[in-house]
Amino acid sequence: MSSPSKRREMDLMKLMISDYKVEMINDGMQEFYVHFNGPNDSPYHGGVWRIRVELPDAYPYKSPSIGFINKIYHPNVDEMSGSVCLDVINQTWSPMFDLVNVFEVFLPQLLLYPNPSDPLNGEAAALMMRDRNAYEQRVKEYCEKYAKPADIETAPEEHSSDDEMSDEEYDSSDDAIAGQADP
Amino acid sequence: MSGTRRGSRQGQYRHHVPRDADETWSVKPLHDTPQQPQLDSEQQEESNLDCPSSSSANSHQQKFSDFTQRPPKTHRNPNWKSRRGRVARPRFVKKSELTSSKSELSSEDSKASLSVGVAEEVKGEQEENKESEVLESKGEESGDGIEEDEPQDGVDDVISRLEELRLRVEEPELSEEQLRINDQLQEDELLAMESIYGENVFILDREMGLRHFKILIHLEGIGETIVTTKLNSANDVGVNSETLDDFSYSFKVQNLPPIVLTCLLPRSYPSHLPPIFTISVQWLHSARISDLCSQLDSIWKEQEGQEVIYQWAEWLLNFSLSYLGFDKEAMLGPYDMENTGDRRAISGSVSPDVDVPFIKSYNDEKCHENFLKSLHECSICYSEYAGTDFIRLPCQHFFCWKCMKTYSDIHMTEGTISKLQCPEAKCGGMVPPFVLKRLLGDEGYERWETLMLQKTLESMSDVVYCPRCETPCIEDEDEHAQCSNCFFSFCTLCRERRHVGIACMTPDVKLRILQERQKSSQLKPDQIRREKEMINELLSMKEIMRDAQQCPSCKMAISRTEGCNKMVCQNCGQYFCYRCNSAISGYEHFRDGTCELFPQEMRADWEERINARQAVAQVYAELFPDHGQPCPNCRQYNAKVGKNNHIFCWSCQMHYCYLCKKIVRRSSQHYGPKGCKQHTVG
Repeated sequence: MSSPSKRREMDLMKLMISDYKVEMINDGMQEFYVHFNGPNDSPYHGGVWRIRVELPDAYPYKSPSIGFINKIYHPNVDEMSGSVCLDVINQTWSPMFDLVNVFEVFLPQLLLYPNPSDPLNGEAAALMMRDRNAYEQRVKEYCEKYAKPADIETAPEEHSSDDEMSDEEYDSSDDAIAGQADP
Repeated sequence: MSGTRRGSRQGQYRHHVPRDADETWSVKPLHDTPQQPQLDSEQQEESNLDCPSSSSANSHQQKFSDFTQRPPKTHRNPNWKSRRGRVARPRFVKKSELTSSKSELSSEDSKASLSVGVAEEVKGEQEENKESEVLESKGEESGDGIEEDEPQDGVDDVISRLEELRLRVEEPELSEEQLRINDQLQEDELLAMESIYGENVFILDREMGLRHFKILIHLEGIGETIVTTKLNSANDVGVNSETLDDFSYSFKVQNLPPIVLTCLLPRSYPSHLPPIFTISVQWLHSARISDLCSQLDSIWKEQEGQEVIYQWAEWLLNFSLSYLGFDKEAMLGPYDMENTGDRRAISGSVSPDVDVPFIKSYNDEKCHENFLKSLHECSICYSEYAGTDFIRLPCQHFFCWKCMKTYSDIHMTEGTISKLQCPEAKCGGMVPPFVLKRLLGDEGYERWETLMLQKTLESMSDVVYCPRCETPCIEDEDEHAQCSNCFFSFCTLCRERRHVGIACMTPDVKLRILQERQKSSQLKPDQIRREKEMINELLSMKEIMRDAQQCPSCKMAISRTEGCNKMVCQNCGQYFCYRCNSAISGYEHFRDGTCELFPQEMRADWEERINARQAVAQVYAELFPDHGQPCPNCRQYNAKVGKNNHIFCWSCQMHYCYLCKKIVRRSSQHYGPKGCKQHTVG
């Protein structure tokens, strides 16, 4: 649809203006990455996640798809794929909502108040219901492991470490010495 | 000399018109000044005319019949047509000829025309019943296209008041020169007023030769005013209101009904006399209006001899409300106070239950007008359009036409009409059917109605449709129903004749049978046609079913366009698994069963997108299943690249060593002379 492209542009701009780091995937304004910080009053505090947003053709009449790129431990997020259940977004969606809304209201709410009644990550849901503290502990562990700011900057870093590795390859040519056996 | 006479369409008028008995009367507009000495005799005559049954009427019958000699009703009425600013009001000039001829009128005629004459006439008192009857019928005939806010009797009321006021004033004798100067000044002033106030100035026809106009002073653009009224349980004057509980009711408006200043400019204005004026406000009590009038008087006194209308208008516009103490909050009433005798104050205020709705509806209309005129931004598409391109819902939320149309169309095509409400988040306001009709067009609207009916019936769980006559029937136990219309007894699953004990025919079997029968020569042509249609329908169903699954609960064919395998039927709300088509309650089904939550293509797609390097790494993992180790961090299997033991896990982005299987923080430290070898074969 051509006329809602104004809507998409505005939404994207508003998102960027609100100090969210946005990375476009292609120029079609269909998909992009956004860096999202865990809400402050939750065990997700301090975690930074890279979130993939896909705007369908019928946007804004249909809700965008949200996916977490790096791992998050949450009852309503699939651990392996990072996808947030579409239904959860769709049920509360209105054409008046925009992307800033999603990141300022919807996602923080989802993280603060997971919906245990229909969980994608059953283990997380069960843990949350059974032992809240253990659940929070687990969340924090995952944040430490997968959601540090360094983790989402890995895209450029990968290349640099690659270079390092290749350098080393050339340098350590003297591997005549037999390698130590693996433990 | 000629007099003028004017009629009123309804209500009362206290109107004294000077008239000379010997004058020529005919229907035509007049521009002469009346002479005052005529007044008293005329008045008397007039008041006597009110009671045709009284004896004095007879003596005046002669004169009376003069009145009655008029052109027939039909001629007269066109003049009465619409009371806009510049429409002429009928004027009547007596014909002297008529005086003599009319004495021959029969009593019947005169009585009949008496009622007509009565209607036309100027009276001191009034016989309300007769008068209002006749007037009402007149009113109906000519009552089209009225645009003014004020009621019609208000218009004539004003004029009669002005007349009354004018008669109290004695104009001094002025020289020709002075009269000319005044005339010029008046003309200039009116021009100026028109250019300043534009469409709010109405130049009306001259009354008795005097300039006559009115100005509408709109009290708006001052933000919001709170209007309050006290509601006593008794509005009687006699009751001591302090003993009763006062309830006060307040509401906010942006636009108050206007102040109407009507003026008649005497010949000696502006040199000697101020304009003769009335102030008419629909919602103010006459005492307050009287205050305003006195204020206008003092403004004139401050600078007698100069044009004053502009000052008046400006004062009324900017200061009248604050003068009355109403600038933040306007008080209605007081309703228990009687009208003052100030004849210049015309008030339409009656009681709270009349005034409050009036003010509110005026405000709503004005707000709506303003809305239509100005530009607004649609909150869905962020484009700007004029107010006329918007649709406003009863919940007061408005959206541009295009967006509403797209929104409605999307829901219509998907059949989710239950979600077709106000798009505003958390509003849920209903979209009225007539709006839907405009948005969807006639066909779309019909489809909507059908869907609504269907949904309602479906929500009543046991309703099925008869295959033969389409009437809704109630289902019994055992998947059986009997139509109350055609008495067809059928199976609700396959919609064929009831087959007790035998399973339903599958669509494939049915298709085959039908196709066979097509070739049979025993069938009549229309039978063949009907069965051909059934074949086509079955084929279409088959085609649909290629890409879709049926909801296990309501059998609606659903095709997945995006998302995972956990489906919600939009028709009945049932959760089901797209892979195995069974009804489920949540995500557990995907954890314990054979069905995966995300289809394979989707996973592959993501994995490619998330990390291109990842794809490569995964390929490696596939190619070299023996040359890899699971990551110590996330247990994901990674293959080593070539001889390099430094592995970068594509899943959790962690570095680790193939040899010792530990996480590598700094490769230069890990793979030194003392540590693991970085490159080994195998």
